[in-house]
Amino acid sequence: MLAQVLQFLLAGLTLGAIYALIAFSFSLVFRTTRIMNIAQGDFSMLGGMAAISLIGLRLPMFVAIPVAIVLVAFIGLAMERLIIRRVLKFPRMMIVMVTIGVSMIIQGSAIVAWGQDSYSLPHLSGADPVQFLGAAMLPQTVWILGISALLSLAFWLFLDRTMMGLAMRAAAENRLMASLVGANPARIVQLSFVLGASLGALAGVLVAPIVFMNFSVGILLTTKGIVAAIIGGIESNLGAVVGGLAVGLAESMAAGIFPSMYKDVIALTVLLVVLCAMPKGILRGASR
Amino acid sequence: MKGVHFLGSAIGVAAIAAVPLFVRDEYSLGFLVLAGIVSLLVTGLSLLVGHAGQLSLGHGGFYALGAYLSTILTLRLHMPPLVALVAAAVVTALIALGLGIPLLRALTQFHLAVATLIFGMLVNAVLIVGGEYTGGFTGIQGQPPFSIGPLVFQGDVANYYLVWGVVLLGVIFAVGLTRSQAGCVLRAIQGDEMGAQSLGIDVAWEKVKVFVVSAVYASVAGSLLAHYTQSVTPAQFGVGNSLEFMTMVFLGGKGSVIGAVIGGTFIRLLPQFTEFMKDYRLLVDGVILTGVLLFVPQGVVGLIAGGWQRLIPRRRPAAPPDSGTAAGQAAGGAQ
Repeated sequence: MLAQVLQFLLAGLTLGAIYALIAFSFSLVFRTTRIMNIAQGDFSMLGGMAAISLIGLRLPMFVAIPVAIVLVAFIGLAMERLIIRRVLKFPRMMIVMVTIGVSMIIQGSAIVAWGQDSYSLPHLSGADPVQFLGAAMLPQTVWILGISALLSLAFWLFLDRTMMGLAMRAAAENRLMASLVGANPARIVQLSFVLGASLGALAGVLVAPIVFMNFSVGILLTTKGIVAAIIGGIESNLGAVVGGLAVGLAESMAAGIFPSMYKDVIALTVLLVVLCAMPKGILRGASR
Repeated sequence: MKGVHFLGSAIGVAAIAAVPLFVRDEYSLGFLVLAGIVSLLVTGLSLLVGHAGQLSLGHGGFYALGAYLSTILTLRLHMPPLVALVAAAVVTALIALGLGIPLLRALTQFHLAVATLIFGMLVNAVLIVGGEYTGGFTGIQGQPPFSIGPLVFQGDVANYYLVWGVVLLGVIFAVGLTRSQAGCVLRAIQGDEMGAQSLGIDVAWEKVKVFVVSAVYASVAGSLLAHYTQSVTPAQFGVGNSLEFMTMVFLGGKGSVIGAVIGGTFIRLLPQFTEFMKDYRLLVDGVILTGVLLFVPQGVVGLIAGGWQRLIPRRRPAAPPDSGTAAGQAAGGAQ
């Protein structure tokens, strides 16, 4: 019984860590630009798919993964340069629609590039589970938990302790004032998109060995990332982590209780109920 | 101005009514029927987007509810199609109400956008695991054709007139709504939400009402689809479809009822003319949506209206249909 609970706990934490990373990348962009980027999860999909393709080209994993992340970072840069920059003055609703348009373009391109089939990435270090207090644990779990913890810490230090991080938060509070004291809001928007895209891509690379990737997983990851960010409180650094873990745990516990064919139904119901039940505290920043 | 509008509408209706006289092959006519069904849904959606300022990324879910409820009620419970259509619409309205009240009461349009996205995915997931009730991936086939009493709508021509007749009713209702007092209230909310609230308007409730109306449009469209194609599968109602509906709204021009019909018909017919682009459909939709937002944010109808005003300069220079509210939102949204 204990082993079983531990098993679900581990599965939940693993998923939760991924959602936390996506939530983090989402709230990073949101907090600095007030843009709700629906294409955020598509960066993860691209990261995972690109890594899979590069490994298919017989590149070693330690080359393929960084290259994939850098490629996606450039796509984030392109999105900001070519599109977002032109619409920053639009009403919010239109900006959300623009990011949906970008999401459709990314998904559509993925269909053209990879077709509609699903792929998966080899595990970072072996796929043999390790016994841990009677529960089977994949080495990938350790990688996911470790890297997410390190990255969250690194980003927290970056946003909290460096000049650039401070400038990003200042620009989020008040663009005009931030530029008066010497921050460059245009650079900051650009940096958030590049960082957000890379972080999303990394999440995609990490999750690709345990979840099948295809062109459409992006929108699902976006949804989970957004809800995680909302639950945790989009304005706080810790929020994404807490929200991500909560969504992951709720999902895996529910999947443990109900038959596995209902996994998606349960996960989505949990998300919807959470969103309807506690919409306040949610997105406090969005109403500003 | 009124005369021009009336004449334009009359010509439009006559043109649509005359189409089956010229388009004789069943295949093409069939696609026009489907385009009409989608236009009906998009008309409702454009009310939500244009007049309540809300985004729904899950209208495919309401569309699916209409289609599946009509199917189940006629096939399993042997209800007449018209009764099933109304029953499906009522159930869908109640679900939309349950979804809309907590979300729209709670502030931002982002809640509704995210929640409807999840809702659409959820409905799809339920259809897939629904076992014998929904038929799983393969869905349900063999629905009876739509009928009103002894009048049975069998074949493409009959369905063409049925569907486009309903579209006409839907457009008339939508235009009536936007010109009625309710429409004024909605415009007031769009212009200045706080101001509207201070006049005693229950802003959230007004938005919920439009959300429910738009869900009913989707449900009716779904019912018509089920009876026309006599087959429903979950793949017809995925997230991609919901996003395509939004593309249609913005292509036509946010807030324009006629634009919704034009956008819906255009995008629904597009793949028919370009058979090769099967795999490119999502990409093309994305490029259209992004391109329209970047370069013609007022949509096709806004563009035409703008051109019309430039052509006939002596007319009183009315504001372009969209710019007023857009600017108001921009000013309101900037801080």
